[in-house]
Amino acid sequence: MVQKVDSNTSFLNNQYNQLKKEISKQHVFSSFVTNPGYIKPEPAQGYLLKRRNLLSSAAVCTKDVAKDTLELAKATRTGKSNDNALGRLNDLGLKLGGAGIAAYLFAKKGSKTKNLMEIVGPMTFFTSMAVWPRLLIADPIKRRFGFDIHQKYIDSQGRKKSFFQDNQYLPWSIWPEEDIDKIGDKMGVKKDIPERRELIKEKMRATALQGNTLWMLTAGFSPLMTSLVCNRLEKGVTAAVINHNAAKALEKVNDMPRALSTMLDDPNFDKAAKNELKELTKRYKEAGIAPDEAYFEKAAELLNPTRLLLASKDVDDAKITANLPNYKQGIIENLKKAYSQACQKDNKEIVMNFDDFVEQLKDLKTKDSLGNGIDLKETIIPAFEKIATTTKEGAKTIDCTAAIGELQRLSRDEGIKVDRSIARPLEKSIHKIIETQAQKPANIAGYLDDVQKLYEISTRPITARLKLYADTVNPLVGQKYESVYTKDYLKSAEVFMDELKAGMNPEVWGYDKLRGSKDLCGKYLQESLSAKVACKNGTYAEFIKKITDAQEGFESAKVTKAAQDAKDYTVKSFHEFFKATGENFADVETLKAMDKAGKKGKLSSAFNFFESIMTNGKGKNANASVLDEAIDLFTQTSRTSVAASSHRLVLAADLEKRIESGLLQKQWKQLGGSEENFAEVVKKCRQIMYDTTMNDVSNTFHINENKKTTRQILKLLFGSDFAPETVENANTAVMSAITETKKGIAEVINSVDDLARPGASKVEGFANAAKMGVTPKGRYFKIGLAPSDLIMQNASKAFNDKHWMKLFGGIAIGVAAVTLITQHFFGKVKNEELYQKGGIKKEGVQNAK
Amino acid sequence: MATVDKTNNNKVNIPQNAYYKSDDVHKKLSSSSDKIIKKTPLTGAKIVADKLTKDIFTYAPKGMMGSRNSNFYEFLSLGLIPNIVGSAMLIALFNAANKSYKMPDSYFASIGGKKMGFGVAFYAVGKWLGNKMIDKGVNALTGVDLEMPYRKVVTELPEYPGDKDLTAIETHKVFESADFPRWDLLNKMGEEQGDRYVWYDKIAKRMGFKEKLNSPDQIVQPRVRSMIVKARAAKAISAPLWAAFGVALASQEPFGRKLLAKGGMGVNIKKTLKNTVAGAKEVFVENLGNKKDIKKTISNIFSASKYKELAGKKDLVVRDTGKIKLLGTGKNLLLATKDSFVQLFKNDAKDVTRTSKYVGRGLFALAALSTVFGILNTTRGFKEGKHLPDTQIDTKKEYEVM
Repeated sequence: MVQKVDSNTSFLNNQYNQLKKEISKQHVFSSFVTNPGYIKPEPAQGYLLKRRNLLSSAAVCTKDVAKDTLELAKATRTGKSNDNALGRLNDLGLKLGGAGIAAYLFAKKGSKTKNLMEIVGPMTFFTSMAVWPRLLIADPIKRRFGFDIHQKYIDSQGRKKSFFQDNQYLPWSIWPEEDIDKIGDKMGVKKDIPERRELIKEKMRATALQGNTLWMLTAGFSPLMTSLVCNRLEKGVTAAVINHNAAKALEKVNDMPRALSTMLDDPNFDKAAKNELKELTKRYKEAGIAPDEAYFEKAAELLNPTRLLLASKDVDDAKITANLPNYKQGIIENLKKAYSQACQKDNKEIVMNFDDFVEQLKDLKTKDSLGNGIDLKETIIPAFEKIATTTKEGAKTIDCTAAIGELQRLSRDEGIKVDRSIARPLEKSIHKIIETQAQKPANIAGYLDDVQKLYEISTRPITARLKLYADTVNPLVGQKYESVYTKDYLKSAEVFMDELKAGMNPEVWGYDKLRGSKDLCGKYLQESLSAKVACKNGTYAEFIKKITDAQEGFESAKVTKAAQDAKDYTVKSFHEFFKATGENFADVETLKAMDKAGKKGKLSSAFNFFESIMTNGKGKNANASVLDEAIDLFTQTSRTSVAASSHRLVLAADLEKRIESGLLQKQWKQLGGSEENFAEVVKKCRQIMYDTTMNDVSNTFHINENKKTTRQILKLLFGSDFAPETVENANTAVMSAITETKKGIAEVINSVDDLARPGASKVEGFANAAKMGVTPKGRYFKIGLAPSDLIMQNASKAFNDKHWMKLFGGIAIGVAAVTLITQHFFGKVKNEELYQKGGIKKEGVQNAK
Repeated sequence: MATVDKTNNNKVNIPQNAYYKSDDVHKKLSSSSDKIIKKTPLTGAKIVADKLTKDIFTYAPKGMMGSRNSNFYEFLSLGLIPNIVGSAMLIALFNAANKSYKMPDSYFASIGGKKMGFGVAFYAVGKWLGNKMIDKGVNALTGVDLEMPYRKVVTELPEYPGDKDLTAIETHKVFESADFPRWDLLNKMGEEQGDRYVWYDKIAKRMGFKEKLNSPDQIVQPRVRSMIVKARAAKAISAPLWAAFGVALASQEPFGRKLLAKGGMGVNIKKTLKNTVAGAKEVFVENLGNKKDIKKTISNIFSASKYKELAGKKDLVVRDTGKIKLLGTGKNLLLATKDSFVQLFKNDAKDVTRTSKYVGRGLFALAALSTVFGILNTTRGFKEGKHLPDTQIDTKKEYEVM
């Protein structure tokens, strides 16, 4: 209760401190002497953590990442940390690196599956790094001995550590003794050993060390596990992507107009291009520079309606535009044209100083038609002087455009005085002057703004339509990677390969042999199919049913119709868009307002250009635009190629049936073929049916001397009826499609004389060569893949997959087996007998039950 | 300001003379106990090779036997094995089966395989480089070598009755622990040179203290301790970023090309290597003026004809075909790296998007930034001597420790 601080206080305090120090010394000394057990280490604050299942340990892992990040920030800022925390940063870095790699590879173009796998891959890798040691080492040991060699604990400072991390520092004080006893029971340690607990601990230590060493020796194999897992996952990912996209596409197809307006209303749609164009415009406007090559290049790139699809991350998207011309160059030209028009318009208003004007004309040496030199000063300059005006400031100026008008008037009215041969070059010179003056046209900003508006008026609506088309058609019938068609095609090919393999001797017809030779594949097909047809009808019926059922996907009315609807709507909406020009199309009003007095202005010409490139120059009333054809081609070809390749397998089987049942011979007779060399005909039939490619169609058949026979054989193959067994047993929907394909093949073969000449079709019904189906590309697709090629491709693929799996699956199984077997020898302690003899003999040990 | 003549021991209580130098017993002890190793350019490689050998022949068997002598150092050293096996495994997964495929499958598979192989290699190189740059940068700015190695003599328990080999040698780093840096070894190193504080004085001088301090360790130690922490934090971020950039580089088209040059491997690899290095040096010096045209310089360095030309002058052996192969491959590799770098930056490969441009450049920028920031952050405030009074401890003043 010191109320006043006087000079004695500090002295007293000092005295008091001295006293306290002495007392404390006394206390330590006395307690040390009297009770040596008094000084004890503080009880451990740490505790063991519960083992978690994989899912919740993933959650904990996320939490740890957050903690480590905070620790990293702290270490970076303050420079204060500890070894444990710093060690953990390595794991954080590993994850950061993984994320960096995934981000870069994900950003690259590819199918959606590929991109997703870039994310799934590293995740699987980190998971397998955690799962591999747990599944193969920690879990078996846990089951056998009842403890986890990766046991985690929280130390007295609250840091999370691994109990057995350091073999020479094991904080046993935090491991409950009853638990140790229980582990001893599981380990089969005898209960009457004096130093039982010590022996158990020693065994645990040895086991954990052995387990951890084994982990280090086998951890390098986790990429193997990752790879095997990803191999399985990839199929699932593809299926999920296809299903998801197809569902979305079908939903959009249900209400295409709404989907389109949603897209157009979405401010984020193609936002990048819009913003870039805005930036570009702003940059040129602010700098006040006239549009140059770089500007036209960039602006055309951004105005190109196919840009969005070409730049898409999804490789399938770009394929939609494969049949469309490259618009960029055209857009550049038209932008330039519009620009020069804009300049011309500005030229009319070019007014310049009269003396400067005369100065620039002075050097001109002009001769009239008779070759006499003309003095401009006498004739024309005075005339110009007359139309010159004087400004308020007193400067004499002349309107260049008016000067041209005057010149024209002079040559017209006073032709004798001002010869045309003088007026013409003079006019050109004035134009030149104007042009040099017009390098900075009055209204650059206006032009730039107009170009920017062009994006909203033309590019965006067209882009949206194309994108919508890509979004709806690609997931359904797109040609590559991820579409319902691709999935069904691969599945049907797989079924076919399996069916074909059944009953064939793998020694002779192994995939390792088939993958190398197309000839062998043809023989294999014949051999297998003959075996199928030679058996009782049941077998053939089953076979046909199975392979046609597998193909049902292509003919799924839902998918085909949806793709058709999407195509129809897209074509329709393009027509509407172009037709609306000048009538009820809202944006056109804006367009008109921008073009002064409705004359042929800058923007409408550019817009007209868009219209014309999109409709192939036929204008807004064109019934078939380039787009129509391109879109039609895409939809059709993607369907037909997949269908034709698969259907040819059925056709091949049908041929064998016809040969076997004698139907073919009958049909041959009906066609009037000679009986003599029927065996030769059969051989030829098989050759065409199994091996024919588009090249064969164009080259072999038509260069063949015996053209007539070939035509007859083709008619026999594709123009005659199916074997009744085929029609009866096949899937009905597929059968009608197969009939279509058959007809298509016959048509193409008939229509083509020479593949090297595109559009070389003379056959009735295909007058318009540019029309679908007889373009070279279309023909290829209609013919499809030869069955022997298909078998070779699939055999090769199956072989590769199997070979890889055999190699690495084998290694994986080997490593796993060695890992598991090695553990059998764990937990043995040297000189175990010492624990039984040594130490103070106690009266048994307290054990848990 | 207190200046202390360190040869005069009477003025300070801290023992400053080197008793290791005079005392025979201590000298002997010194040679059989922990000691800082003198660094040469190949020390790092030697240490890694030594660790790997020991991993296979000592640490792994010891661990699998459950030896009591296995320690945490050995466990950490074993970490080399999964790195090597894992890298080999990754490369094998994408390459081993390719040869069994037929064309064109094998060709397309080999493109991915090559990229993966280089990706693995570049990951390792990137990580090594990321760590190295920070260490070297910090060393250059402060004189503190965070990688300073020391040899540790560990005394072990006998493994069996009559086991006489009871010592094991480990290679550690003086500053590997932030909690317990081996200050004692720095003192010992100094004592052997006649002054316990040799190292500290050197660092204190770099810190801006113009005159020798009485107790430089008290100034230097906390500073170095925080440098250890900051450098390790920086390396934990920087190294993986460089590694990721390495992988991005290897994923470019040039690394899918055939890079192995034609020509058989020479018999005398050692000679080949020696000549190659000597030759490369010659051509490099000759081409120094050619700075702008990197491609030409590289191609000159690795062109066989250039060597033949030089061979006359410099007496370099160019007969062996191995060298031509080695040179060609080296050239291809360097050019591929350069081309990949350009491709990644220009973002002009077939499979790029706008995003990949920014991610690729961003990865490089982040990695470079993390290195620069890491070095600057680690050395921040290091020159404290310039801003503080010359010494914080006045030796003339007496303190009472309560």
